[in-house]
Amino acid sequence: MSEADQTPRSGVRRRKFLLGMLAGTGALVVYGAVRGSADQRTGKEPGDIEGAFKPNALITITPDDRVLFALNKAELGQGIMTGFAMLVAEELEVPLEKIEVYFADGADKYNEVDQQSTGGSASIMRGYVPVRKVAAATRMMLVSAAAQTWGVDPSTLRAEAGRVLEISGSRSASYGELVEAAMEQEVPQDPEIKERGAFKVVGTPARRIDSLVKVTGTAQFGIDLRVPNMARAVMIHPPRAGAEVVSLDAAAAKQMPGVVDVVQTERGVGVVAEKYWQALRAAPAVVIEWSDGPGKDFSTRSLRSELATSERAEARTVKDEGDVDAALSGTVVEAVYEAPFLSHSPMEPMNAIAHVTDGACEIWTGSQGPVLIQEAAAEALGIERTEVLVHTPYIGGGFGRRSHPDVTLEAVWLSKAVGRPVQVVWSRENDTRAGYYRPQSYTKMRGALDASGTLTAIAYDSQSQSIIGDLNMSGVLPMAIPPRLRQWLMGNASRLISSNAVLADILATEGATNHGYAIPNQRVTYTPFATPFKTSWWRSVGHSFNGFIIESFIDELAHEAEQDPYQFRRAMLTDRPRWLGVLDAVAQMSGWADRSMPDGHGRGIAVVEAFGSFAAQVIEAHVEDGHITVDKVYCALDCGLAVNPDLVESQIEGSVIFGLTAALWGQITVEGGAVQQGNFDTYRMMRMHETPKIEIRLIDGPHEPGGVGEPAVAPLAGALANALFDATGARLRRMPLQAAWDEVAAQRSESPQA
Amino acid sequence: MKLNVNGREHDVDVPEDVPLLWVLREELGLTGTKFGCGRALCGACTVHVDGAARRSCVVAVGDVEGHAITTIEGLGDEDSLHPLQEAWVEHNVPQCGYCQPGQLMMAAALVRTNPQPSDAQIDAVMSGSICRCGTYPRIRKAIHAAAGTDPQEGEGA
Repeated sequence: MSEADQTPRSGVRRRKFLLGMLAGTGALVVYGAVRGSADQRTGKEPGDIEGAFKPNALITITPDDRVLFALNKAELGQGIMTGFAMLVAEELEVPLEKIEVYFADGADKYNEVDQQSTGGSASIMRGYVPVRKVAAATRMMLVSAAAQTWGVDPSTLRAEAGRVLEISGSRSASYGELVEAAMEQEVPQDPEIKERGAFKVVGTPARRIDSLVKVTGTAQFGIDLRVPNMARAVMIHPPRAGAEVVSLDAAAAKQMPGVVDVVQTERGVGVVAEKYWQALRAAPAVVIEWSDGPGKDFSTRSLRSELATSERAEARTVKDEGDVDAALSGTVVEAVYEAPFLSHSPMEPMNAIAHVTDGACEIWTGSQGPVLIQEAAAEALGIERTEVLVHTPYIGGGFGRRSHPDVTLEAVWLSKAVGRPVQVVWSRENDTRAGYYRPQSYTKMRGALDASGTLTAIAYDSQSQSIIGDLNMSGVLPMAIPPRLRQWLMGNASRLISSNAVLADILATEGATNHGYAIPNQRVTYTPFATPFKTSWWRSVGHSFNGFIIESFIDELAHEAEQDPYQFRRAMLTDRPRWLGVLDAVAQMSGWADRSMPDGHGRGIAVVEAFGSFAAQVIEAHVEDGHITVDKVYCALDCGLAVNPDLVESQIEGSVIFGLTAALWGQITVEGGAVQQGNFDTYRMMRMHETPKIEIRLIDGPHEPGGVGEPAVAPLAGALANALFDATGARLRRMPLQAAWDEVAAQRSESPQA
Repeated sequence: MKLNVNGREHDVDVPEDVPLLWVLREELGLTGTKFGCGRALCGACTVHVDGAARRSCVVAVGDVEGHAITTIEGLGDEDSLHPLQEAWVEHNVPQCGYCQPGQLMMAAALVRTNPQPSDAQIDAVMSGSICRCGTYPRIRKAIHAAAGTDPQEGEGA
């Protein structure tokens, strides 16, 4: 063992290993700036096993052959638990079903592999190389351990199914048997990972590894957790944005069975009881007088008219190519598109457990950003971030909503007030009305065609609320900045960042700046505005409205030029093979050139690039008894390598249903500062009988994985609006399309000649 | 009062008008039954009462005293899955999984009364259960697979 003695099992070496790996992949570490801070964990994670081989933060191998993997991403349903486990199985050479995946607590060590937040359809895209390298390094150390034990060269050995074997020989050992020797091995500085052709697991339609617990009801979501001595709380939120408690009479409620306390917080009143059902019964007995609040005069209806007449004095130019003014000086095509606020409405209502103790806090919540949770709780309590321990369970849907710490803060306030762990569970109405909406937008498009029908110029002039401007920026700043400077920055970060016209504009105008069409003169301008409600990333973010705007307008121009909408697009994408690939595929799948639609039926086409992937759709639809009916959706997606093609398809199916729900019916409207929707009767979800047939084709290619959770949402509303124009002759320029159609139908019945 | 849940008798001490959902979740620790809307709009809380699907969020516990209540925990477990649960796993149905206990209980009630449902019959019953992840096409497929029926011709996804 002399060699081993010269190889210290030091944390320094391991850290270098991980950082080297990151440098090689260009991965961006936002939260990893803290060095030398104490690991804030107070409890053990499943991978913290005495005597186990743990060469990095993610992988644990025990002497009795267990293989554990710490998932540093949120499993929101997208299947990342299975996706990452497949990457590990591939390079570690263990069967997929052998890997025990657990949810990593929020901790800095997990940021070193990739930022411990989940969003932007980025987990596989960014984890594809580093996760495999972590697994490959672990395998190499196990092989080296066997080589050393047997006194042979590592090149005479191979790893297979959790064992190291002699290539020409009879000796073999399980990983568990090699654990002790593996700890003595040097960590490979640049572990070799497989070429795509050698994959055995990656690229297969493997079964999800989380299905069993999800079909037996044993999966523990945040709402299902209980901790010792935990109380439960109902939140009574302000009826209008920003309204505050003027007077509170909780005397009667406090007398009711099980009620622990009624607590006024920074946002409304918490009714805390031993049982949730007791809190539910007591809440109506709380008498609150509310102030009008800053939102009293706000309505989304008046916002629409204000945006229509706005001077746009603060418009920022995000993109300006060619001479747009000159090109638009003649005859132009003009159109205005509008998109409303939308709620995320995950099926699991927002919830969190907090246990505030002296100088520390422990939190259990389904979060897309555990570090943001740490930061927000630490700020609220005036304690160090590293004193906040965050556990992350299964999550019943996120879509961007679980990036925000608001429900956790309520649990923190209430736990601090009553001195014991408190679980806050929102009602569906809380969830629908508490804000963080997809931004409302108002966009004026102008375009010019030359005599031959070629599009010569396009100008996009949009107003929407800035998601970045609405963020409490505290959680996204490097934690290493000295506290005082950080405080100043936090107070000003939103303004600084949104005024430098970089980040805010990227989200607001994504899909408008990168539409892919070769048009000689293009301009994109953007004007942010504020409302009393906060906005958020919502599955596909800026693409959720820009896909609708750009793809509708291109369709309008195609019709103006009297050209086929597919061929019109095609002619402007000749230098864009991946765009063309999905566009041609979807045209072929839908028989675009070969058949026409029956009377009253229409079809529309749209294509986008989003989140590193390319998505095209053809939608067939008609209007029946005033109801828009979607008959079929064809979708082609080029996401590069599909790590699990079946899960990619399930993400497309989900995207189609999520996107159609919004395109047809989704809108959050506000009157007098109060949100008018509350439960699923007023905020309508697509149901099984309304779901169209969905046909999917994945485009195979040499590219590395792109995003899959969001791209297929982006083209939907545009493709549907185009189909409805084809079916009815009416151009619907406002989402949701059913409401826009209702207006058209009303006008048509008033003036049947029109 | 005495509650019969998954073949077992439980003593619970709660007012009679407390929704069954919260009694299951908080008094009996059966958290497989989910809270989604509180108003029988989404189906996440679906359980069986005497074999029929009911929305436990609007069923007063006092009304089901003496009746046989079945929750997802009683449908099947890891070692003996219900055929629907097997089909769900086989077809990669769950995404976030939160609504799936309710979907499964609804589907189980359907195939119990109609062992070979058509697409239209599946739609008619399953349209009461919302899935925000959009797993409907796979739910329909999985029900057909478990029932041994073929999806209607030309059925996509």
